[in-house]
Amino acid sequence: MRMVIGGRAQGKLAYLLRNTGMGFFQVCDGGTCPLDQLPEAPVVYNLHLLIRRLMEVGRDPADFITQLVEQNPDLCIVTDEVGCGVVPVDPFQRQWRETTGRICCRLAQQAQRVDRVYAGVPVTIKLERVEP
Amino acid sequence: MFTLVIGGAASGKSEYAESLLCQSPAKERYYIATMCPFDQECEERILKHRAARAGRNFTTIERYLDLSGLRLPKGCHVLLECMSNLVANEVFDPMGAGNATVKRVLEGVERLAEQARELVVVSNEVFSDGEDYDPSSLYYLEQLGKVNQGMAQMADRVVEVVYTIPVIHKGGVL
Repeated sequence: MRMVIGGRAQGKLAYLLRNTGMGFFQVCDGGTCPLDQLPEAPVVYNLHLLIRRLMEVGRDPADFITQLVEQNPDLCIVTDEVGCGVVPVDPFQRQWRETTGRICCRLAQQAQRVDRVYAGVPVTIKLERVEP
Repeated sequence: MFTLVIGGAASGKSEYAESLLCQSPAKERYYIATMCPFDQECEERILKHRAARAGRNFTTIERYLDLSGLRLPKGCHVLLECMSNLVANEVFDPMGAGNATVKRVLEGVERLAEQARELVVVSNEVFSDGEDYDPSSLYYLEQLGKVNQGMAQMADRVVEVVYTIPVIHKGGVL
């Protein structure tokens, strides 16, 4: 599993597609995809929005995402790095930031590779060398 | 050695900072807690952090204001968490330093760095979200930003924690 993270509109998805040779048809958008089944696409985009939508309908996002990664250990996950602003007044927003952060911490620990995209420029912040 | 650890909400910065301070053996480890428990959510947060620290042999000192007045045994190991709370207390509390926050807080950090053999200060990345903040929040952001910059100048190492992954901004490989 690999992750591409960074701020909003930094070119994260474009970088991932360029880097892997994949196309838009292989991307599942977490902001719009159905929630009644696990996405099967090799790329899950907008994970932070998927987490929020699951929370809004009262589902456990951690559980959903664990299943997602188990189903596809080679999954590519693209997410906005949220949680870098002033603590929001709205309790749901606070909960969402916290939940997204904790899930992303766990995913980053599991991931073989984590890239952070800043103004379109990728910086690899984690890379596990796999023995052939 | 003074290490500044910065990260966003739920980035794993506390866990990282604690493990950093626990890497080297120490007789005395102090944890300076700056969060004032003014509601239940704060209390729960404090309990969660306390549970995470349990068994790591920290003596907790609650210090919401006036860092420079704190005296610790020379050569001890110190973790201060979190600078974002201390600055908020100094800026907004009627007993706080108010307009002199940046100067007073940085003096306090300097005193700590002189007394401690190992000092780790945790601060918060709160500057990268495009919200429309009210003037008092903007003022607070300005003060915390200045404190972070001042600490980074003093620090031997500056580490940003990104979803548990340390990204070194100053001071080379740990």
